[in-house]
Amino acid sequence: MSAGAASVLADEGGGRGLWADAWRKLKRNRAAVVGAWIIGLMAVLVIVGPWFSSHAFDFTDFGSISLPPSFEAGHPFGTDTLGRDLFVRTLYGGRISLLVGIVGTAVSLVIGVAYGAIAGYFGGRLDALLMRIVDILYALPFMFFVILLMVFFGRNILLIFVAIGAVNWLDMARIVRGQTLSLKCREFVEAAEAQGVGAFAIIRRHVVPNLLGVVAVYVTLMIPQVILIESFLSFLGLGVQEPMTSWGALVHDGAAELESAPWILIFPAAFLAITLFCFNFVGDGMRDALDPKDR
Amino acid sequence: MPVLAVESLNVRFATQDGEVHAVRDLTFALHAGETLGIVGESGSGKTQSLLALLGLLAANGRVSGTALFDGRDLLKLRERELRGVRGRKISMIFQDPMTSLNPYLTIESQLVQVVRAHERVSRKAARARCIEMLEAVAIPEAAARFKRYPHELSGGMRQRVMIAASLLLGPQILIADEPTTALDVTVQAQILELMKEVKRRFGTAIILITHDLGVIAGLADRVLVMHGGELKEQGTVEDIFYRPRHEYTRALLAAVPRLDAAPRTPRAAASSGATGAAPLVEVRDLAVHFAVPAANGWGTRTLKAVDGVGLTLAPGETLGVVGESGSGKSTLARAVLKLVPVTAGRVSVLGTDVTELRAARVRPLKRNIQVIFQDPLASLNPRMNVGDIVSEPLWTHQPELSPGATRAKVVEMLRRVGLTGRELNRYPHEFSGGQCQRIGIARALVLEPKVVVCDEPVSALDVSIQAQIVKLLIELRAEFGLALIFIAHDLAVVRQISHRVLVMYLGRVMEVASRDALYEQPLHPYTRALLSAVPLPDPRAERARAREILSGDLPSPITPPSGCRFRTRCRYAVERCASETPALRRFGETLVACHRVEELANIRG
Repeated sequence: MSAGAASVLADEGGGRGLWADAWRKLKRNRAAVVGAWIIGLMAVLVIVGPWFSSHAFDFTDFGSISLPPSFEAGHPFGTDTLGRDLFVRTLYGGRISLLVGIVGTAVSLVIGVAYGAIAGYFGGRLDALLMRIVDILYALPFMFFVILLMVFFGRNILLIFVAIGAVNWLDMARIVRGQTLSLKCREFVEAAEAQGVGAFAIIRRHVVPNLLGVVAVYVTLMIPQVILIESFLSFLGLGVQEPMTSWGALVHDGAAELESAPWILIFPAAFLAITLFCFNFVGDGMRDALDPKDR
Repeated sequence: MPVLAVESLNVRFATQDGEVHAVRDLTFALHAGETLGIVGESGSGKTQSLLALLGLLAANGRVSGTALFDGRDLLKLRERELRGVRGRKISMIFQDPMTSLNPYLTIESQLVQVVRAHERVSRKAARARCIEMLEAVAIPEAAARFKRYPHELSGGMRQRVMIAASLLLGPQILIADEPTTALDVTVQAQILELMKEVKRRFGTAIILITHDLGVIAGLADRVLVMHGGELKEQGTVEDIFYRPRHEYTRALLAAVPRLDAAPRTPRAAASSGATGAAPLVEVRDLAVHFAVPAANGWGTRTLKAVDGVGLTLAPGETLGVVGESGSGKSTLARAVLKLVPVTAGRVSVLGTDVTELRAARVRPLKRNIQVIFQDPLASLNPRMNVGDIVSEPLWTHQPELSPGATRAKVVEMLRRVGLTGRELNRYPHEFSGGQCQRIGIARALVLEPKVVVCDEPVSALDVSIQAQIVKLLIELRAEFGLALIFIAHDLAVVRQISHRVLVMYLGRVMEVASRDALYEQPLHPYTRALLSAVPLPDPRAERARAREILSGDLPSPITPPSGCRFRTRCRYAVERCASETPALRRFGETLVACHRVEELANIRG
């Protein structure tokens, strides 16, 4: 009650949008800001870094197998069991992991938002049908699904995108549908219906823009989840194909040499962990910044 | 010596936009046994000043000043000492009793806990005292209700429980913050009577915070008028109402719509709608039923929100629709707009029967029938700027217009509703409630429709803003030749704007009459009770008049009473009322649904 009265007074100060407000709050959250910077640096590093290295990611040098990290030898992270430069491989792995994270999330974002908004807005039988389909897909065991794809189509990085996208949009669709159901009862949606605005125009102009807050938060939390799923698949040997690699595959290789050459595990694992931490910090920050109750 | 002496109380809030000085130098005294009314509009600081006294401010609030109570300065007490004061010596009741009661505990455990937290008494003694208190606040079957959970009681009953809880420890001061604002007018009348009784019986000093001058007129001995965090005027209730000294008090009193005074609009305007032209909207025997899950979890029950309602709306006419919450008036509006499916009956708009038309076929008709909603902010999309909000009807119905022409129309319409036309790129939350409602009106009128359905358009607004919006609607009605369906629970506002008035109760029409006939000589017992329940902003008239106070609450629309729906609360009900549903029939110029209207017409309420 008191907070309400105070915010009424504060509103008279006027002149700021919801997003501007959220942005300002996000900037004040130090963990989120640092996280965002590190993610940015990481992205630049994995894209640009390999160009400045004299080693190719798939060049095997049997003269320098399992070298410990050393700048003199030109292998700052050392080499793996096949004598490949671990620094370049970690960066290449990062490209794949971040790509899977972003593309996988983008796929599930587009499908999930459209599917969920349509199911939620139209409701009734269409909603029941669409959500039962989601339930059925949920019931499919994920690993079984991936192995099935591998058996039919062979190992291919594209299959990873398909498999992850196919699973993650289900969560997104459920969240978006729930939000749409509550938005549908809001007066401004009713106002648009009363004006005679068409259903798809209402979804586009009134429903989806108001979902973005929740979706934005969910996306930043989904990216690390997708990276982790890919790592898990690669760790099990179902992911990317050698000699291409990802952080998950590198961790898998490193785990085997943990006792003899721990650096093969430590460097990729550190990159992976730091990236996941940062995404989670940014996600938490966005959730707080977009929470309307905390104004 | 006053019970409470507050001197130069200041409340400040630190916010993102800098410091907000919510209460400035407030000084007042409360004497024993007195009822002190504090009136003001939202943001006037009336609630914050009292929360500050009890140490209940939000974390970003700071207080200065003194507040002497019981020989101690409340503002200097530590949290532990304050806890001994709160509830025990100063208790508080709030607007919405549901938020102050714990939904997971029975009334019994909550009340007993209040007693035993402050006094060393046995559970049995505490329980006896609680039941006694519930009986004192006129809760029927108090011992049975004692075992219920808050959601099992109606809003009026919950507020009674809150009053009982606040009186349990025999406080010296009772602070009531908008105690009746969330209640229907007939229930409000019951609670106000109860508070008068409490005052007589317990002699507790009451601080009554409200925006409703009618409530103040009936209850308060002295009044503080606050505005913008400052005390504008204080005096006895008679001084404030009959000899206001401050400009703001005068403006406030002038803005209050009067139920007991005919509006200044001439009668001629009222009859202009009753010409023989074809009706714009015609509703016959409309029923809207909803399936709601049954309480026991198996199957569904039918909620008859609207059950056999008819109305006609002539060009240029304003039809007021009144009734308590749950009477079905908003559902009626939604059915006219085709926003809810119709169960039975027919709805025609501009001569076209829309009852069975598909949504795509109804859409073009909506160009001529638009709507204004209750909550001005909620009815505007927070992610759209004002320009887009007002343009949207044009995009939908006149897509051939060039962007420039659309923009020109929007700017013109914004100016017409009292904005500057420069708001196009700003967002709804940057505006006050009144401004948002102007934007909503601009959106409804930009297509120049023939009919506008107004669903409680002013009930979320402060009194002075209310008056401005009603004035604007009356001006626009004349300028655009609009016909309005004006839904409201505030009978005084309806009197200002309507030509004819339709009274609804539990989904049925009780009475339809011309404005003057309805307010000067109401026929249906429900209409009489409704009019009599509205507190008048005039202390002498308010205290002198005999009231017809309805007992009980609105029955559930899932299981409405047989026969006449109003019979369970009607003091004139006879056996026939339970067995036979009264039809809406003509009596003089009025349509009324009551078996006994001939007899009752002779009993002047």
